[in-house]
Amino acid sequence: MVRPLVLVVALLTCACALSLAGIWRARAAGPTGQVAGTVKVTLKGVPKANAAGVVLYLVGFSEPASAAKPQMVMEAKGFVPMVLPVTAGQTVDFPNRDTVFHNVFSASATKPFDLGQYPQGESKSRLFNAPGVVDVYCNIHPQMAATILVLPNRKWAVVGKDGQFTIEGVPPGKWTLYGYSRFADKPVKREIEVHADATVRLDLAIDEVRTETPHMNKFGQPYGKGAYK
Amino acid sequence: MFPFFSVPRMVLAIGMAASAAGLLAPASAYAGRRPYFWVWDTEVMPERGVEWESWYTERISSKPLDQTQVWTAPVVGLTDRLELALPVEWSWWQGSQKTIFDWYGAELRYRIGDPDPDVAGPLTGLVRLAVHRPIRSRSELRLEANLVASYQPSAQCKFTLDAGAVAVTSGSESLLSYAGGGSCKTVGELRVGAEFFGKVPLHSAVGAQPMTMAGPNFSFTHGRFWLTGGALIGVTDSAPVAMPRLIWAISF
Repeated sequence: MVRPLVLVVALLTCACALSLAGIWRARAAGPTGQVAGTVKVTLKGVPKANAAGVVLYLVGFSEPASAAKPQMVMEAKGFVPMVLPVTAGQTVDFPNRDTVFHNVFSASATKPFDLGQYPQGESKSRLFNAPGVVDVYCNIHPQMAATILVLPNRKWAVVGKDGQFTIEGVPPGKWTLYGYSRFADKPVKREIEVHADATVRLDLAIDEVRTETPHMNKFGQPYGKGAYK
Repeated sequence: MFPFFSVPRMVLAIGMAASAAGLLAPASAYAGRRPYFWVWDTEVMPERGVEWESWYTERISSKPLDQTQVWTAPVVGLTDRLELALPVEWSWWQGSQKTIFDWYGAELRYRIGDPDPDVAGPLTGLVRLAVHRPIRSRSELRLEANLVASYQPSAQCKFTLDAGAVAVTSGSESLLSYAGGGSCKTVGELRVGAEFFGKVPLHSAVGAQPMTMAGPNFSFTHGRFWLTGGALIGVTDSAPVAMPRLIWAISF
C-alpha cells in the first residue's frame, strides 16, 4: 500500500525534473551567444610573442561528447598537442609516429592508466569519462609531458599564436570561463553572463611561471640518470 | 629445518631486501595490481611491462606434512591483454627434510575485456593456462586452467570468483578447484579483504580428500613494488591447519 503523501511528493518531484529538463533542452536548442577575446601570455612577467598552448573553456553546464576521436600524437619525442581539451565521454587515440618506442601513462586521480610500450605505427586509446585534469607522460622519455583537459561540455577554444579566441554556440546563462596553461600556477577564472545573439568580449592575462613541468616516472619515482633524452 | 644456506632461504632474504628497498623508495603508489594471495585476479601487465614476482607459502598441518614453497617468476606483458609468466618452484618437505627444486613451467593469463576499465565496465574476466614440468617425475606434465571473473562496482572494492582444474598427464591426479574473495581499499594504498579456496579431487593416487579453506588478506602497493599476503585457515578436517602466503613483486 503506497501512502498518498509519498505518492504526491514523488509525482511532484518527477514533474519538476521533467520541467527543468524541458527548459534546459529549450535553452540548448535556442539562440546562443559567443565568447571572444584575447589572451596575453607572459613568462615570469615578460610578454611572450606566442600565446599558443592556452585553452579557454566554460564550466557550469553539461553537453554530451561528440563522436569525434581526438588524437594526442607522439612525434619528435613530444606529445602533440601539448594541451588537448576533450569532452567527458570521448576516447583519445595515442598514435606513435616517432622512430622510437614510447610509453603513455598518467598517475592522475581522474584517470590513471598505463598504455605499456609500443613502436612507430601503433596506436592505443583510452576513454575519458570523468571531468578533470589528466597529465600524461612517457615513462621512457622524461621530457615528454602533456595535459588532457576532460571538460563537461564542448564549449572551449584553443588559443592561436596571436592570442585570439572565440567560443561559439554558448547557451545563454551565467557561466565561469577558465584560461588554462600548463605552465601557469593555476587557471585564470572569469564569471561571465552570455545572452542570446550577443558576444561577450574579454581580455585575459596569464603569467607562466615555468617552462617545464617536473614530474615522476610511472612508479612515482624520479627518472633515473640513464633515462633516454 | 632449513639448512642455513638453502635456496628458499636465500630467495627469501633477497625478497625481503627488495621489499625493504621498495618500501623506502620515495613514491606515490602506482604499480600494484593483485589484491589476492590465493585467488587469481583479472588484471594483467600492460604491453612490454616486466615484473619479477615471488610467493612464499607455508603449509602448516596437524600431520607431519609441513611444507614450505618458494615460487618465483618473471612476468611479461605480451599484449595489453596477455601476459606470460615463467615460474620455478622450490619446496621443503618435513618428511624428507630436504629442499627440492620441484618444477619449472610457463603460464599464460589472458584478460577477457578491454584493458581500459572504463570501457570494460565493472565485470571482467581472465583465463589462465599453465603447464608445469615436475623435476622428479620426468614422464609427466601438470596442466592447470582457471576461469576467473571479477566484479568491481567502484574503485574501492573488488570481488572475484575463480574456477580451476588440474590434471597430471600420467593420470595420477586430477582435481577441480574453486576460490573467491573480496578486497577493499582502506587507508592510502592498503587494501584488506578475505578469500576462500577449496578443491575436489577427481582422481588421486595418494587419496587426497576434498577440502576448503578461508582467511583474511591484505595488499599494499608503493611505487614499483607491491605486496600481498594472508593466511587460509582450514575449514574442513581434511584441510591443512593453515596456509599463509606472502607475494611480492617489483615492476621494471
